[in-house]
Amino acid sequence: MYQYVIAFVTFFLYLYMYYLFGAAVSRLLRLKNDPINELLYGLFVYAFIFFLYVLPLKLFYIKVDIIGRIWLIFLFIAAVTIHITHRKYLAEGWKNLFREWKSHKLVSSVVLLFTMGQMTFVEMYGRLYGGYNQTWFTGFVSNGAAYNHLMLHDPATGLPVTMFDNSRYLCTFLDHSAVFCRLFHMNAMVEVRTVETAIFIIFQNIVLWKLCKLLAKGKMDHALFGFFVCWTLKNIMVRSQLLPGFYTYFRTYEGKSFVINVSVPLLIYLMWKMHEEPENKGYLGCSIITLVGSMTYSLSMMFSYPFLLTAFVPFLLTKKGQRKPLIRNVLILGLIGILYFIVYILGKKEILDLSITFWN
Amino acid sequence: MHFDPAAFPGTKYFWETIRVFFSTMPKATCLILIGYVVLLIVVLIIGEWKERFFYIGSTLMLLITCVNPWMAWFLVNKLHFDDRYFRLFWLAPVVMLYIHMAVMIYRKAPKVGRIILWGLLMIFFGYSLWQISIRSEGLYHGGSGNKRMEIVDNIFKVEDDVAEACDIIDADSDTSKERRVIYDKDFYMEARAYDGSIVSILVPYFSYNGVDWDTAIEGKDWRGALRAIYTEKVGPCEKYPLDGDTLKLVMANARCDYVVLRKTSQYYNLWVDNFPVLGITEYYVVLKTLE
Repeated sequence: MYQYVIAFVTFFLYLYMYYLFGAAVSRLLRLKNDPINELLYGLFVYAFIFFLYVLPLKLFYIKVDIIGRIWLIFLFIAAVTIHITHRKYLAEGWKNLFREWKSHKLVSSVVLLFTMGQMTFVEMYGRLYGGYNQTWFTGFVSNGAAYNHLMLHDPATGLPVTMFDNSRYLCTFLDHSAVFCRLFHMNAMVEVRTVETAIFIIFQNIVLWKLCKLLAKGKMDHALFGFFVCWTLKNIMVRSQLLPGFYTYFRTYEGKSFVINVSVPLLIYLMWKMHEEPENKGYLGCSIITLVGSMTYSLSMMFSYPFLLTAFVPFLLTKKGQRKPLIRNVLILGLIGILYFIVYILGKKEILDLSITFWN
Repeated sequence: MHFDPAAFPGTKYFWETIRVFFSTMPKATCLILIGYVVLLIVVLIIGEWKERFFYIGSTLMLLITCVNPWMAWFLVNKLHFDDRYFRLFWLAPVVMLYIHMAVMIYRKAPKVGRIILWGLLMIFFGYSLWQISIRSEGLYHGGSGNKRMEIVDNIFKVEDDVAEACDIIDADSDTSKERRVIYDKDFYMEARAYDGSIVSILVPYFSYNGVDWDTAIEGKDWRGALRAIYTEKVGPCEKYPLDGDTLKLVMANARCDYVVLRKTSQYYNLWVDNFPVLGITEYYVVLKTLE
C-alpha cells in the first residue's frame, strides 16, 4: 500500500515542481502564461538544474541520502520563493487555463481521457517479459537506491565498477530517480515503471497536441482529428523494436523513448514556430531549454540532435528577408549541441578522467 | 543493431539495416512507411513552399547526412554508432506529415465528409488498439522473445514470486549490504530491477561453462562447482561425491549467501535436506547457505 501512496505523492510532486520552475522561467522569458506550456518546459528546466547540481556530487561520490536531502530543501525553498514572488502570475495562468478549458471542454476532455486511458493501460498491462533492457536500465536506479551511491555499480550485475560509464554518467535523470527512491523508500520499479512512465506519457501527449493544434491552425476539432490520426499510426507501428512507437508502450521509461517521443517532436515544433516568427526570441529560449534538458535524458539526444538540426536548416533558411535571426538561432543551438559532444569526446578519449577511486 | 556489424563491412551494413527494418515490420507498418514516400510526392506536387522545404527538405537532408550507406559506414566504424544508428531513421517527420495531410483533407471536407472521415478513422483507430493489445504477441523484440501486453502481477511489474523471494531474502539480511545469491536468468531479469543489492554470483553468464563438478572442486573453483550443480551439469562426479557434505564445503567457500532454487530442480532434495529453507514461493525455494 505504501508504494501506491508514495507513487501518487511523487508523481504529483514532480509535476508540481516542473510547473513552478516552468512558470518562473516563462515569466523571465516573457512567454505566454500558459500552465501547460510551463509544465512542459519546466520539466527541462528542472532536469537541467538537477544535472548541474548532481553531476559534481556524483563524481565526488557523495552519498545519495545527502544529495537527496539537500535537493529536497532546495525544492522547498524554490517552491516557497516562486509562490511568494509569482503569486499573481500563477493565479493569472490558472485563470487562462480555466478559460481555455471552458471554451474547448469537449476536446480537452477527450485528450485528457485518452491520456489517462494510455497511462492506465501501460500501468496495468506493462508486463515486459524477457526485458533485459529493463534490467540494465532500471539497474542504475536500483543500484543507486540500494548502495547509496550513484553509478558506482554495474547496472546489470550489481558489482562495483572502476570507471563511470562515459555513455551514461551525463544521464542524470537516472540519478534523479535513484535519489527519490532512496529518499522516499520507493522501489526503483515503482519510480521508473509507474511514476516516470506516467509522466512521459503525459508529456508525449502535450507535445503531440501542440503539434496537432499547430497543423490544424488552431481549430480544435481539426486538431483532435489529427491527434487520433497520430495515435492510430503510432499504435500500428508499435510492433517492432526498431520503431519509436514500440517505446511508447513497451519501454516508455527509457531516456531514448523520452527523447524521440517528447524532445524531438517538440524541437521540430519549435523550429516550425521559429520559421513563422523569426524575431520571437521566446522560441529560441524554449529550444535552448528543451535541448539542454533533453541531454540529461539520453545519449541518443546528443548523437541525433546534430542531424536533426541539420535536417531542418534548409527549411529555416528559406525565410526570405528574415534570415539573420534564424541563422543566429541555428548557430546558438548548434553550439550547445557541439558543447555536449565535446564533453562526451573528452570522456571517451579519457582526457576527462572518469576513473572511480572510491574503492581505493 | 540486431546483427553483428563485423559481418557486414563497408556499405553492406546500411543495406542489412534496411533489410532487418522491413523484414521485422508487420505489413501495415511497411505500408505506412511507403505511404510517407507517396505523401512526400503529393507535397512536392500540391504543397506550399514552406511545406515542401519542411518535409521534403528535411527528408533529403537526412538522406544526405546520415541515412545512406557511406555515412552509415562512417558513423558505425569511426564513431561506433552501431547500437544507435537505426535511431537516426526516427528523425524523419513521418507521423507529422500524415497529421498534416489528414488535417488538410478534414479542413476541406464538407460536414458529411467529416463524419465519414471520423468513422473511417475510428475503424483504423480500433484496429490500432487491437495491434497494441492483442496482436503485440510476437512483436519483434530483437534477440529475446516477448509476450504480448499482459496484466501485471503487482505495482512492481515483476512476477509475484520474484518479489516474494527477494522479500524473503530482505527479511533475513541487512538490506543496506550486498547479498550474494545464486539464481537463474529468468529470476535475474526482474530481481536486479526490483532490488539492486541482491547480486547474482553467476553473472555475467548464467549457463553451464563446461566445468563439471569434479574438475571445479579439484581446481578449488568453488563458484564453478556451484554453477555446475545449479545448472544441473555436474558430470560423472567420480572423484567428489554429490552429497550434502561436499555441497556444504562448496557453499562455504563460494561465499554465496542464498540460493533461489527452482522447485523443479533435479537436486531439490539435496539442497533442501542440507540448508535451511527460508521460504517457498510459487516456483522457487529460498535457502540460506551462509551464516
